Amino acid sequence: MLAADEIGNLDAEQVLKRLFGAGLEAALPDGKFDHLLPEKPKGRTIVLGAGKASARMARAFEDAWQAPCEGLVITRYGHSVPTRHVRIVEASHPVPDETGLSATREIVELARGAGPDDLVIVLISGGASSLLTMPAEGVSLADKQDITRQLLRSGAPIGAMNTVRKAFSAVKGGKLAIVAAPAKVVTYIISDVPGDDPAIVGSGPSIIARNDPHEVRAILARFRIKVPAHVDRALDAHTGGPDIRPENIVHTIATPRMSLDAASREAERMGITPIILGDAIEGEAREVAVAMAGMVRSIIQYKTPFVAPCVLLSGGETTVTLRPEAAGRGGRNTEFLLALFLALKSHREVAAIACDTDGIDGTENNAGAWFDLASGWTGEADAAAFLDRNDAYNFFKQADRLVTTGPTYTNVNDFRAILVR
Amino acid sequence: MTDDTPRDFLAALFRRAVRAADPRDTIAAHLPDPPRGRTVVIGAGKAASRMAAALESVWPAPLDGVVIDRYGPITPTKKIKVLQASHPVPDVAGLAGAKALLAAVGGLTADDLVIALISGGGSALLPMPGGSLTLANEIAVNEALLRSGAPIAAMNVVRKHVSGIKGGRLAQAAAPARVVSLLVSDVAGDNPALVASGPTVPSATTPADALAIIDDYRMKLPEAVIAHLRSPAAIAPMPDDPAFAQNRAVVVASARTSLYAAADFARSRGVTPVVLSDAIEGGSQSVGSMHAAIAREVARFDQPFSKPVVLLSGGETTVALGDGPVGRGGPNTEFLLSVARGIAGLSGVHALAADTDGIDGSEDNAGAFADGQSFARMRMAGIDPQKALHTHDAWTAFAAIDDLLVTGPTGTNVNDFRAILIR
Repeated sequence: MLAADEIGNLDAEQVLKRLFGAGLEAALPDGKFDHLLPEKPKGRTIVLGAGKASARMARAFEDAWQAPCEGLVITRYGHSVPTRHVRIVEASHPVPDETGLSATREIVELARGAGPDDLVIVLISGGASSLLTMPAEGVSLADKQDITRQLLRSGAPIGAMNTVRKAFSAVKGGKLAIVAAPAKVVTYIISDVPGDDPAIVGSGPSIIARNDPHEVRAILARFRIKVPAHVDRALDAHTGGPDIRPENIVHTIATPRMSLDAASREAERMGITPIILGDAIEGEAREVAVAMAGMVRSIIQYKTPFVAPCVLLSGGETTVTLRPEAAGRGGRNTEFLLALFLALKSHREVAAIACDTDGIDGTENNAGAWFDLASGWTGEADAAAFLDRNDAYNFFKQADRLVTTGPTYTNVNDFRAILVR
Repeated sequence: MTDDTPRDFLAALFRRAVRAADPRDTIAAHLPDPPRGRTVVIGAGKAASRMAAALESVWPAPLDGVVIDRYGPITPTKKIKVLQASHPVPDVAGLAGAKALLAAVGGLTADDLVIALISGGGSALLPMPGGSLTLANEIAVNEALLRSGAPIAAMNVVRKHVSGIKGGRLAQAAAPARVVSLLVSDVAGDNPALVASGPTVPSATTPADALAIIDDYRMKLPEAVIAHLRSPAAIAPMPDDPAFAQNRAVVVASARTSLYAAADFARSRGVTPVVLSDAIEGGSQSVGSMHAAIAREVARFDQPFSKPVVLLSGGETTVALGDGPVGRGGPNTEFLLSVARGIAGLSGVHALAADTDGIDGSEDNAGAFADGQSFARMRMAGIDPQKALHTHDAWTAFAAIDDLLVTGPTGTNVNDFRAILIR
């Protein structure tokens, strides 16, 4: 372990970028399939999927598979990468559009067409819930949209909402896998949800869920969701379902935790104690920064709860509530970092980085930003004014401290590292 | 781990924390030498009467004086007069009290000693509008501050510059007598000038700083207040003023001493204590979700700390009310409802958050208990806990499942106390 003064001589920019680089590397699908491939089938290999990372996952799968395959995946507009065999359709997220709906129908037909000798590969990542959408038989798209709106207003917890959504969907909650039977199904997942439950990522189209109409009706009653009679009848129509439980294999190839673990190992290599605060930290970006700053001050002042040199790593997804006079630019990671900068400005021991692993923080061209308070750089005189108008992007841009990776076509949410020397 | 139930354990931690902040046990070690002349005691805050009683029981010379505590139960004193006033919104009794303090330190000589007993809450208990401002103006400032979500240090800068007694002005009035301030700190960092807006401890802020904070937090204030802040009357004495040369300020209790007392107790029960910080600020809900995220990390992966562990933190979170409907509940109760959301469904995670003064915000509870079942139990009781977070109605949510922690006023105040046990 290096002494604090030796760490002080390390270039903080390099340390921080190595940590983020390690986290990002772990989030990419490239090379992650090699040791997780099933045996080649007698029949066809059909690749289906959806999500913000699905195109890059399809290409990584093709690279690893080294055999013919076919299929279709849906990704968000602007998230395509070139593939050789698998077709890519771009559709709207988070509000589904007609392109997404018709591509979903096509995916269901491809799954239905799979025979006993065929292998179905399902590639799921965040965003699949709205990209892969198709109402259950007897339910119209308008019915589904109405239920979703009522659910959002009701304050129902996310778990209950998903149970209801799955009940009225023709693909979610494992229905895609049921349609694909008797073909063997192998699912690969990149998670962006707390807990990394495969049944929750993209509403688990290939993860067969229990479908209990009593439970669904209880939730509808509890949150006072009104549904027309024909929709209610549809619930019973789907309960029995095919009594098929295909042999289903699931591999989670990237998660926020895996990225934090990778950064953690990288920190150890540099002689810095890594501390993972959590892979699912949520809250208002600037408030989370102030709260973490409290811990950092405690480390500096009292050597508790950790002793420097250490790095606080965290993931999750913060939010930004725009201020009334918001006129600036910047996403949640850059805003987090500016609030952290303001709270810790007087502490030369601190350096930090915050980036979105998808390479795009909010709607800007940067993944995030970094700062090192030992460099003598104290930023603009009116740093608080930048935060005030949600203008963190310009604050860090003027200082040449943006991190720019370009779109990564994967997503395990936010990556934050606070170095204390 | 012990055989205590998690709640008994958490409640015992809180009692230890409060006891460590009790001036009765801590004040004697910090007393100055008696003066040649008179000893005059003044003070204000939620610990004022308890500090006064503690001081007069150990002071080896004659003394007299007056302190201001809030309405409600107080600790009886023999020689020092205790006045009572309204908190957190000031009233005319507070104004009369502030005048009484100024009168008590008038006409003293260099041979006399003033002992100032200052604790959190003193800001609201000592209204004294500066310049030509009215009490209504000062109350309007206070209400705007409480709604703003600004941290206490920022609020106290504004209070200091609209006041005729804060920011060292009370000590200035006592000159040439020496002033020794004994403080029970409720502010992050324990800067004596920030406790109760420093009536006896000057700081280097200017009215421009106050105007900047008003602007930052978009507070709507009467025009008279802004005009005052632009006038010379808003300027407070600076720390290098010769009138303060002999003065001294000592923190006799703070969040830190309380957290370490709780940590010792946890250790004695076989639970590893982890003090995250004595000064965590920020919005109650965001700070709550961050604590919950760390608790989940420990519960699921036994890292960054190994179970059984209790996460301890202090400081002061804030609730920015906004313009929507507003229910009942102080910052600790709201923090805890946010924690309850973050740990919903987990077993083996139990939490307590409470104000060490015994009163969270303006309700009757000190705080509450939560665990992985709290959210589900609230729903069974007909409460929508998610909505309660949006409407700042955490008190109602915890009251519905009978999980409020009610202690009554404790006679001291070192701010928030939070403990999350993960077994």
